[in-house]
Amino acid sequence: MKIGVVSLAHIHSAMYLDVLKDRYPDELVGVFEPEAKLAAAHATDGVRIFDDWDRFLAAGPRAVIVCSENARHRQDTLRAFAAGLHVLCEKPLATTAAAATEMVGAAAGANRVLMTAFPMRFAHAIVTARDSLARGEYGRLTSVVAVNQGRIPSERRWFLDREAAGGGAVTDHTVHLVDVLRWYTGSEVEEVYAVANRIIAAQQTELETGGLVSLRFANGVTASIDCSWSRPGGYPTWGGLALRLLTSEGVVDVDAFAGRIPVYGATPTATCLSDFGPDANALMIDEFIAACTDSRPPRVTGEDGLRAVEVVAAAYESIETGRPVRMPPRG
Amino acid sequence: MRVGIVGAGFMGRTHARAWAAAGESVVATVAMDDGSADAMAAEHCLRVYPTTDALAREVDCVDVCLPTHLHLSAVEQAAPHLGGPKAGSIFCEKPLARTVGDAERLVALCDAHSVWLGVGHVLRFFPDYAHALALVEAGTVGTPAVLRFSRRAFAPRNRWFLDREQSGGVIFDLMIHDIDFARLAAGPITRVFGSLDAPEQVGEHAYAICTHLSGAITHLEASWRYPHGEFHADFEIAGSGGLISSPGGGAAPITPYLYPNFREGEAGSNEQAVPAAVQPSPDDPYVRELRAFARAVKEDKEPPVAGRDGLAAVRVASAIEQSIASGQAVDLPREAQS
Repeated sequence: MKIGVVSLAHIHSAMYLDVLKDRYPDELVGVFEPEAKLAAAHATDGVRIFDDWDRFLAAGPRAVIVCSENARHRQDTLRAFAAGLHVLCEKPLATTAAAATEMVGAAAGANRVLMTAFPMRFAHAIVTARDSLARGEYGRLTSVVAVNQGRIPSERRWFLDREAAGGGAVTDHTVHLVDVLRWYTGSEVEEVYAVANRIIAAQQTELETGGLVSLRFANGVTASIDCSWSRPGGYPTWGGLALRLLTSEGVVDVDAFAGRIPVYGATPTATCLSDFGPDANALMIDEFIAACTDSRPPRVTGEDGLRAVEVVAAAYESIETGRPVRMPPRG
Repeated sequence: MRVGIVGAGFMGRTHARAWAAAGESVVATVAMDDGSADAMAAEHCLRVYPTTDALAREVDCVDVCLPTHLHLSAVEQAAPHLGGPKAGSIFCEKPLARTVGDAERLVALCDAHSVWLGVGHVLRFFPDYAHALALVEAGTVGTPAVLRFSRRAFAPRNRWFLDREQSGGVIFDLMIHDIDFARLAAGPITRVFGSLDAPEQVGEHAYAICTHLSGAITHLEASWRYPHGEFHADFEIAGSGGLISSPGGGAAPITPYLYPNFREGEAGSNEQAVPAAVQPSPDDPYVRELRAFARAVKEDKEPPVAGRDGLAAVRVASAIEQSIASGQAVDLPREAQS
């Protein structure tokens, strides 16, 4: 099955292209990127760039990975469905719940796969802990303290722009853990409390750079998420994602990025952490391609992306009002 | 300074040793129903008085190490005998009291009798926390923005601790340390939202999200959920200019891994038989805490952790408790923030 990438706007496009070049070299048709500047800045060796949608389609992709700015996910996804393509869409699925709902509806109408790019569903530690939890080895989950902090993504300016990104740290970093927690609990978020501020990197953006979110699930589990862009430029890696599971039997710490080797360079700035272990992005793309090929729902769906977007919307409402926000009942 | 300790549990015994190391004389204690005071009195050659009232007449400083809900009544007995020309003082273990009302009365009593009141928020005297605070005050991280403090251990076995009415549970036992420290690092707290996870059979776990007057936000975590013997504490402070985080286990300069029964005569006893990891500083935090208190009192200055600090921490802890009960975010009244 031929596959392409739509847009080089998101940093992850480079990672996904690496996976496709490595594992699906014969299926990779190239990238649709109409912006000449982006194409020039982020061109990858051996990957064809199309600036024209029809010529991109003529190369024969059956599926695309949408890596445009958050606010463009909707139009890029709808256009792909109109052309009969399956879509793996970068997270967050959309900047509004209405847009995400429309995307999910369009996938159903076109009978195409819509998968949300939540690679944590494929990360070794996250999957293994989920299996142990599901088998009852950890006891019953009662509460979670989770973090997904990172450096401010200032290397792509659109992340710091309200219109293009939809929001700051809360938009960028809440959805991964909301999705993991929905998966772990098998339950839906019922209530959201959140606070945010803009003290870190205040000169760079009008968006929030610090955020703390508290969730209450329908089954009674409570969880906090630190979604802050609180890792400074000198931090030895981009950030991380970890959960502390409180259960009826004790406590389990889960670190999705424990596989890191410190590298001490010749200069202070050369110090970093080097990741090892299985590549969750590769496993996620494998699953997307398998779902498209087998015409079955992927393990992470468009609905999963929509649910996370709804929680982010509730978090912003809570930040605005200073009160916990009940999630609207779903029809 | 002649010190009398009321309460001979873990904290009373810890303080008895720390006062001596701080160069002050512990001379007396008060009889306890469980006989615990007699053992402590024997170890430190203390006179045992039948009541706090009787003890307070004979000492310069009363150190209250009783269960939390008994702090106020001990101070009610002690304060009248410590004021005036005696220029006495009271040191009260944290939390200052179980309720805001008790804490307010306790502080007012000490004020009324002109007795200096110090509160045992010992975390400020731990070398890693003290260093972190110095870094924040020096502007190393710029303006504090997002702070995280976590304190996690096994559930205490004392019955009064497990009775939330008496102790306030894990929020008043553990989280209150970090409430006090968060106020130091990022200023007064104006709004809190709390979550308490307290299933049957295992220790409770809580987290809280705090908003500071400065705009900073803080995540607090406190746990009694761990298996017996486990204790973990960590923090991070992210600001406009950078990030500092706790050194973790790597900060211990000496960490022994010895068989538990290596010592003659202690075979079979797993508790206390193995030396603990050595802390990164030779100064015991309790000694530093009590020495700093004694120095302030002798100079007739407000102690470094004063009654109003202890009261402010109780106000925040109570607001978190109230948030948990109501499910709502709770605003702290303006007068309660400082």
